[in-house]
Amino acid sequence: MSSRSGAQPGPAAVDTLHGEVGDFGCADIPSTAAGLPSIRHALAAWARRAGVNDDLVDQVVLATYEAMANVVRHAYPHNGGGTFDVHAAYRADQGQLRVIVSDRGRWQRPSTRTGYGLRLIKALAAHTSVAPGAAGTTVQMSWPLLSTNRQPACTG
Amino acid sequence: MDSRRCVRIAELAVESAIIGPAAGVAVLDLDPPARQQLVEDRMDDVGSSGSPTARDEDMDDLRVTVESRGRAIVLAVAGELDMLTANQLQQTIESALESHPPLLIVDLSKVEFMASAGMNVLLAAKEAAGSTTQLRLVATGNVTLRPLQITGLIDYLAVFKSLDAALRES
Repeated sequence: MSSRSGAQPGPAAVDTLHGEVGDFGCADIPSTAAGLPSIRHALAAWARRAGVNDDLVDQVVLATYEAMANVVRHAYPHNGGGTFDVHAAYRADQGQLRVIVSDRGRWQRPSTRTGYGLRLIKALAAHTSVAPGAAGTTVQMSWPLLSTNRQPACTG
Repeated sequence: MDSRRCVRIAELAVESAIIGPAAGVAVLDLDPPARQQLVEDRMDDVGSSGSPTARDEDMDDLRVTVESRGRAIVLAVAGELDMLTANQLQQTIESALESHPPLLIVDLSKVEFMASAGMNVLLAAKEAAGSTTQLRLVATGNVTLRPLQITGLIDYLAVFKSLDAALRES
């Protein structure tokens, strides 16, 4: 992608047009399938408020859902009531939207069933990292904010 | 992230059980006026399903309708196909396959969200259909086509752009 710094609106203009959004954050989400739809809906609403177009919203929401679903399926094998956190940041100045899903469990070896989820995450996000550790697993995903990701704002 | 500003999901679960799914979400890291606005938006949703933000909130569930069309059984799927609802579709597919129809069409054109759990059901349906029943899918938008493409299922399952096309082809 070529840089067109002269032609596209700067971050300040975008923030003015779409309103500044704070980071999306939720901590201590119970690791159950029933809790995921409300997080998914809230994340979608947040991304739309940030001015992200519907197509990218769909990608962010699906990738995040799969990361959360992996926590529910694999992080706490004994269903011991584990929790996880979701954090999302829209950074117009860095041209990036990123989502972090972190748990405090330990993923079991991915089976073929997990395969689809991880494949979706890796294909949907521009950059993905999955960091398993003694304290838990952190999935980071990010998307570049191209000028076409911003919905047009017209005045006058 | 400041977790103190995050509304606990446990509380939300109670809330949504009382008020219903339309009011069940308030997990954003918002400043107080914005959060208030969000709450007001959702209160509107409770009253009028036609408001712009109602789309997500009204689609918590999955709806599957079964219809006979000649030699085919058509399952029209609408709503959200995720790990919570996938089992519902699986059961409907299993019931439909019990009568060994020559053709089973799973119409996904009204699906608003499809996760890997949904695709596992479609894959299992293909295996369960075996050689007795032809399984066909109808998928029209990115919400369903993109995950089918990413996972390669689009090459393994017969995917059509419309119900008519899926019914027409012999």
